[in-house]
Amino acid sequence: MDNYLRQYGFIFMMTGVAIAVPVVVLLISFLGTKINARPFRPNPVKYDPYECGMETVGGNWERFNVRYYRYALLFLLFDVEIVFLFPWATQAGALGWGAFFAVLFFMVVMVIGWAYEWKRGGMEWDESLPSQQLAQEAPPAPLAA
Amino acid sequence: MNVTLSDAVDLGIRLFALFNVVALGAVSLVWLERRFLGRLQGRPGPNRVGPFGLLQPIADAIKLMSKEDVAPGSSQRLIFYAAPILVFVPAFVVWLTFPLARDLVVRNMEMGLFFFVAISTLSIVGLVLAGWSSNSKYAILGGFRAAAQLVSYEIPIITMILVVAMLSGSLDFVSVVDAQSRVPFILVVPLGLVIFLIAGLAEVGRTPFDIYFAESEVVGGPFVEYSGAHWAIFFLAEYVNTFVLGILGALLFLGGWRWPFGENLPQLASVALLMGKAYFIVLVIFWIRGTYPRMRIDQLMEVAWKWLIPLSFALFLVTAFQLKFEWPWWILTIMSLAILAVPVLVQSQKQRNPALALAARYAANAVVVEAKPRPSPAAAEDTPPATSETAEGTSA
Repeated sequence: MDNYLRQYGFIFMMTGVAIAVPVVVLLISFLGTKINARPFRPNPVKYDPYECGMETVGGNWERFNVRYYRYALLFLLFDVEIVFLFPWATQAGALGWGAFFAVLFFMVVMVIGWAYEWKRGGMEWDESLPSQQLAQEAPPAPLAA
Repeated sequence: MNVTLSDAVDLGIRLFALFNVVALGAVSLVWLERRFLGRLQGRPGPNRVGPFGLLQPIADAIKLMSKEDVAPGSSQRLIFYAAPILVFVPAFVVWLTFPLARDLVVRNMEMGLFFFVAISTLSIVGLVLAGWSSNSKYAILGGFRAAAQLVSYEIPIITMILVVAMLSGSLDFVSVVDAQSRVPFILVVPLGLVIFLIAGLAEVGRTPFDIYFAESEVVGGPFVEYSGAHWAIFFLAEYVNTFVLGILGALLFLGGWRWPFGENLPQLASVALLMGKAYFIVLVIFWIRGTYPRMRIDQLMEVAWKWLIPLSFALFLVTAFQLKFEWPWWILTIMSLAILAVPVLVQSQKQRNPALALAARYAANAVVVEAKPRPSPAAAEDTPPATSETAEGTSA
């Protein structure tokens, strides 16, 4: 337990240092305004969000294309699945055949899921491709006999 | 846990030394990138501030810190100001477990590789929050792009770290380097370094993959509303991340401080060896930046999901078989080179005959078009046999 804390307690101290570094930089920069080393002359135009020199049209938090979330979901699946492989990986040669075939089966399931995702167009960024449009409009066809 | 004074002093010295290494590395990279890019483009690069322009990064830092720092009036101030720190923290914390020589490490962890994977992913949160809190269309688009890109390329990089963990039988960086004392992993799995470097470039957002802050499309992406010191923190984090990629590549694939001179190197020389390898990888990254144009975002996602992920899975399986059947290591080399030949051949075919790629794409779409209108089982019998053959042939 003691060793465990020694190994991982450092993460918190390191995080403290990592937060302190940018905070100190920002603080020095902020103090620059007090001694007139850094200008601070805001006006309404500077406070506008950037829009190529025009006034912003519409709201900024618009509705977003769903594909970003789809990739995030895909990532979540694959990431969790790969994390499951880490314990086996360090002892790949030593563990027995049972473990080997278990991992093999696991990978097969994963690759099937990946191939299905590709087939259904889940990996197409450009959703205007004809196959994607059709896949969305029509319900999935029954499997050919 | 008893923390004595000497422990605290020891830790303080280690953290201070580490801070200096990271800061010096990042600053040297800023200078190196500008000089090297200058040479690649046939111009001198920065050469006025100090000898060879060596003081240029310091001049940049002073300039950035003394610039006006405004946030858009409609931004979410707290998140807006916290986001650069959130991006910087993971880039710095991963250094905790990077050994620069056998005993030169802040804290060697048994799960060092896993720790790196876990912490480095967190910087995505900072980028998305930066984009969201700016309340600007370009920023939020860049933030979402950053999420999609970094998340996609995380999978190949984790799989490559997994392969290295399998080959060395450990998640500990020192053991990984020890396992490469005779043969570095670049010779065992050349494909591994290729995938690692491509995915790593995307992870740190270097040039062929700098989609999420592409100036010509999203004018700086999540960083568009940032100025002065806050922007400097993002800039610093990017260079620290590039340095991390160099060190990680040297540790995982180029044999760290051990190969090719073995164990008997003095500590200073082994640090120099590791740094030399890291800077070599960094120079390759800058070389790629000076050579390749930026990709489109659909190409970017295609490379990740249709090429890098299957290739990394294939390498994982091949490595598993090699370890289980205890084949000699050079069989793995041959097999990984054979896997690497697949994308090279396919892509060169496409380059030679663009019509082929287009035809393949239309064929894939034709299957769906044929498969859709099938209202009743009676109509299915009328389908011409040639079409059903195509459908089966492609879906199998």
